[in-house]
Amino acid sequence: MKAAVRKGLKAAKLKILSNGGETLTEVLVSLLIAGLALAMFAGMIQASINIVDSSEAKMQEYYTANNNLALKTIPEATGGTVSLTKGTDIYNLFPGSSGVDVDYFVNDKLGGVEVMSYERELP
Amino acid sequence: MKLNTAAKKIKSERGASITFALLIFLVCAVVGSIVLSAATASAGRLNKLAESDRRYYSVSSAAELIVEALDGKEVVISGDRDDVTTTVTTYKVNADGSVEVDGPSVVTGPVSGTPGNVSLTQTGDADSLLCLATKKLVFGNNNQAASNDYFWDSTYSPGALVTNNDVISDLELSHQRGADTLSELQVDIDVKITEKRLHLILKNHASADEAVYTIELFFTPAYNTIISKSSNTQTAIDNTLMPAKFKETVTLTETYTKTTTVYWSLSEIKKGQ
Repeated sequence: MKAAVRKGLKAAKLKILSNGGETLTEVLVSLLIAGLALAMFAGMIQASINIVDSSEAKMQEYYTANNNLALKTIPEATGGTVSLTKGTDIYNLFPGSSGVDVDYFVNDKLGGVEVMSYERELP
Repeated sequence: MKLNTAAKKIKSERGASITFALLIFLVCAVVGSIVLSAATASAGRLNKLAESDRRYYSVSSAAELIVEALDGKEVVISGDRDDVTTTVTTYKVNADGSVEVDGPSVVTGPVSGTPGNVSLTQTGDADSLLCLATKKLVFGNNNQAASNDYFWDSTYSPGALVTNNDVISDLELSHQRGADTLSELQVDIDVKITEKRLHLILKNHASADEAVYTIELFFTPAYNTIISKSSNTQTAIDNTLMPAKFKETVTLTETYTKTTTVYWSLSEIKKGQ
């Protein structure tokens, strides 16, 4: 073990003290590595820019849809009913009716998660 | 010594192209990865944003609906009680056919009858959330008979029987749209009395590891109690002592109607995660 370390140190010393230049092959390989690195870097930057652009566009769409949701401007064609329950018991929110008819407003611009708001249908 | 080393380096003919190339590769890989992961992370936040908005809108929609249903609304508590006074007068029939009072009249009463059942209604509806809350606030845990008595008792004072944080009920606001129950919009509502106010805590229905958005609504009651009275007189003649005498029984029934109107108004809203 000790001998191997000594041998390695000797080889490194020789390498450091060496005045030898590099071959053309080594230079070309170096250029290839550097070129690949730069190409990869440029690709990553471009991908990032694309991701950011698409995120911004998505956000813009999402916020526009959210404005409509908050202002309750475009209800979905299908309304529904909201009930106040405890187990099987139903309590009336408004006198005389066990369910409240509501309109739904939806923002589905982010695909998987639908953001929904609702309000009472005018009686 | 150091200058000597630098001079040696300048004069050195030893190449370092591969070392530099590897260094450039390393720098590009690290910086590129950082930029790429930052952009990806920023895009990944969008779904979290939508989930958070969904919580916010489901709970705030429910809160708007609750406020519309309860704010400025009234519950009427009403009950009757009869007081009966009976006056029995005996009349003597003289030989010439004239009639005169035979002794003083016997007056019994007023005797208070059993109070009728107290009713709570909101525009004619007894099953509303507001009726449930008003019943708890005014009559506490009394049953119907105890509530009837308390309503007419001199100690009757709306709001006096409840304690702070008295829980009324745990309810759910659930949806039905065609066959779809829209479970992601379901809101849990804890209803209780806090500082003699109706306190509703609305939160999105969530599993243990999901975030919860909460809106708390406080409704303050205002009470107005009035008692009205109506009278009814019935007369009955007892002829069993005729022809010498007869008895006249006059029954005066005084019906008292007591009405407490409870007016609810939104007094505070608290929002939080």
